[in-house]
Amino acid sequence: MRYMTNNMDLMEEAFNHLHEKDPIHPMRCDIEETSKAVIVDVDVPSFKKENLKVNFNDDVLTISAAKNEEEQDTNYLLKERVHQDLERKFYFGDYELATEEISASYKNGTLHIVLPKKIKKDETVYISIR
Amino acid sequence: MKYNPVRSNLFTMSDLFDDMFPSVESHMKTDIVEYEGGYKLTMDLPGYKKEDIEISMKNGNLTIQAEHNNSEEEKDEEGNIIRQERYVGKCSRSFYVGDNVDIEKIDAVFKDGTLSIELPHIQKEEVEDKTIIDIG
Repeated sequence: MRYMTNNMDLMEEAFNHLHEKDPIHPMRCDIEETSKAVIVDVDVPSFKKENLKVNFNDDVLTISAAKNEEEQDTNYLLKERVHQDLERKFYFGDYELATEEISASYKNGTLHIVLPKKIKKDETVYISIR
Repeated sequence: MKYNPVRSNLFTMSDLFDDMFPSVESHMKTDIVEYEGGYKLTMDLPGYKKEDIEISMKNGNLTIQAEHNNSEEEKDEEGNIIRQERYVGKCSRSFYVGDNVDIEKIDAVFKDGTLSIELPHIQKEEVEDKTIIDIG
């Protein structure tokens, strides 16, 4: 199963996909939840770091990528790659996240976003001894 | 996969294969442009490192192979996977480019998860047909 939906309700998919053969959003993502954070990895190959934007507002994480590329009159023998601006949104309303501490890094075409969870007041936090 | 009521009743062989072997077209998306002096191939390989990619030429076939080397990747804790769309593993794709490619001059660059390969045609040296014969 390629589409796995948990209690994380995804308010995307109101998007006309470029390729009907490919039902997955062109920004492929993996989402993983650990006890401390939610980790989102998004593939945005060929986009430059300067042209990527990540923001978190009203429980929605928005990732947008601008191509800034002038299409030349090239003679394509094969054209499968995405040649347009992309955007994808994820709803995180079911999580209590420490929004101030969200961090993102970009390497080899993959955007790695860490959304740390808020530590609850009544929760015991174990600190490891070095 | 999107729910399709018609399709869900028809479990075809191709569906089975699609799930077992995701098609290379979906995770090695490629553009090929032909220009005057050769071909330019651009392939998306997000998440791979430069060292993970191998490019080879044999009998006019250009093969690109990529494999994740996760040995050094730091993993503190095994998390709960909520969504998995990205392809992880080994993949390979070949293109027939013919014999008219100058193998010595193939140039490849990997940047921001995209591999760009320039494949110049063999430049036919213009041989001067004229041979001047001195009249003795």
